[in-house]
Amino acid sequence: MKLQKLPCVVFRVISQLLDPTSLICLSFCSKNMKEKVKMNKYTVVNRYFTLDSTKIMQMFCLKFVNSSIPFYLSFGDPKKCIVRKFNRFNHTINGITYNFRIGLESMYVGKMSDVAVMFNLIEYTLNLFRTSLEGIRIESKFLSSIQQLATHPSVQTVRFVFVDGESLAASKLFELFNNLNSPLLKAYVFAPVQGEVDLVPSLFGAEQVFIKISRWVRKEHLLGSNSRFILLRESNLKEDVLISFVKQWLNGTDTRLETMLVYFPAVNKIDQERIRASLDGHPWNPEKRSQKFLVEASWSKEIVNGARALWSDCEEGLDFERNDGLLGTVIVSEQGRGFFFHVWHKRFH
Amino acid sequence: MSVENAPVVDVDEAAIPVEKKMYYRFESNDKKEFRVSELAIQQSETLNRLVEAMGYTSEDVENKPAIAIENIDGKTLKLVFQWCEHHKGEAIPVDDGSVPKIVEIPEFDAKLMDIDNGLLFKLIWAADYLNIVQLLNVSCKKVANMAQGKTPAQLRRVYLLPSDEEDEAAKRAAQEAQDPRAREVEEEFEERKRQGGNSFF
Repeated sequence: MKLQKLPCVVFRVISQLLDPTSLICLSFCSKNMKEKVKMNKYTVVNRYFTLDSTKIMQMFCLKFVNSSIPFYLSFGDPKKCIVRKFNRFNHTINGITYNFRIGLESMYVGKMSDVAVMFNLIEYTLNLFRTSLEGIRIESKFLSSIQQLATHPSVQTVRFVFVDGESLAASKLFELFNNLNSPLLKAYVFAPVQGEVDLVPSLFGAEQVFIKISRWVRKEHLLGSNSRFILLRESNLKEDVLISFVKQWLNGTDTRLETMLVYFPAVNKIDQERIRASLDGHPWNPEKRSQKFLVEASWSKEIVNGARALWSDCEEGLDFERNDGLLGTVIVSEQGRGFFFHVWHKRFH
Repeated sequence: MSVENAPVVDVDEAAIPVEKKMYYRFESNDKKEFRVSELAIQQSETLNRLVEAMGYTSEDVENKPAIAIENIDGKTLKLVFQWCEHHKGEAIPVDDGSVPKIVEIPEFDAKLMDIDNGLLFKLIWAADYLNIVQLLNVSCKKVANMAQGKTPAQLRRVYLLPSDEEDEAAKRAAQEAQDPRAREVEEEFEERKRQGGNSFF
């Protein structure tokens, strides 16, 4: 079977039917084969540098439109019980030699944390399939350098950033978001952050922001934000910060914000009456807006498991109408554990 | 229907009764003759267009010489027509790249393609030449499946892939074979340089 002797159109059909692992291995066979593989058009729907399901290693994930199972390039070792089944080989890319092990829909290159080494291989693969990285889900302990990661050309294109882990130094969070240049669609920080975080416009400029443990978020972060959906849990923010935020919106021209939800721990609950007294709002007028506000944020599932959207009951909310006609509603939960701010771009939901 | 029962017959082996349905006669490059039903031919865009253009009647089919297929041998053509007969009347997939290519190999096709790599290569080539989309898909899927779990070294062996050096050598050889005059000009130029001339003209 002389593959190279087949007509180009036939090779293209074969390429479309090969699994990603085989295509990568084929590209390693010769320069000619690499170019042939590269010439084909691939539809890759998910392209992530992410964590495996047990969060023990970083991996690179590609999901092709014609495959139900994603392809994984794992920067770790396969499970010991199945390790003997894997075919092994070494291959050198740009002077760096990798020890590959081939599994079903996956390739393993052994445990590594060197960002340059990992991204040398990721870049090769992205280049082969003529695609770019869509998002990253990282844990700092698996990476040699956050700075190196954030400044890598492949990472500059990402629109989704998720930060995992048991702990993250404030300086690392700053390094990450301060070096990302493209506007983000989602910025989720699951890891508790230790220390004072400087202003990070790219984090609070993401369309959707979710900070799971937001004790580190200060007034300056909030007042400098330019997001559409903000969700802060375990917040330490005080009433005066929340009042300032609403007043800034009322006196400003921000037309992007749609929903901000802030949740507080029991020890830090807020005073509902103080907020109501400080904001000169009006009770709900059914002629001006619906009773319920539909929150269509992707982080909805972080509040209600599996939810794609949430209904927020604004019957008891305080309304504020801005000069440009935009209507905002503030709701403070009775127990003082939640502060919700909605902007009615569409009055009736 | 099994491979053995597919209604493609070498004329030498058995005779197919001429029914109301029209059976076209084709001849391979090694002079093997086949009778193939009109419906089965529709699986091949190339042959279908050819017979439409010819406009044969039932008498023409019997009286005129078999349609010669110059590039395909009898062994391969037999497989092709067995496949066409088995899948006659089935919809032909439209491959415009708008939908992802997902191909499953049916049991009949798997048995039909239980052949050596050399013959599989010829079958793929024939499917492409005769424009039989689904046969091309399943045969390419079989080739793609051969790669699963293989290392680059194993892939080189399975697909007989040349190394970079072999590719380079083949490229040089092809260039030289294509343009002998270019080599002569180069040699003449080198000779003139040795003789001290600065300009070729």
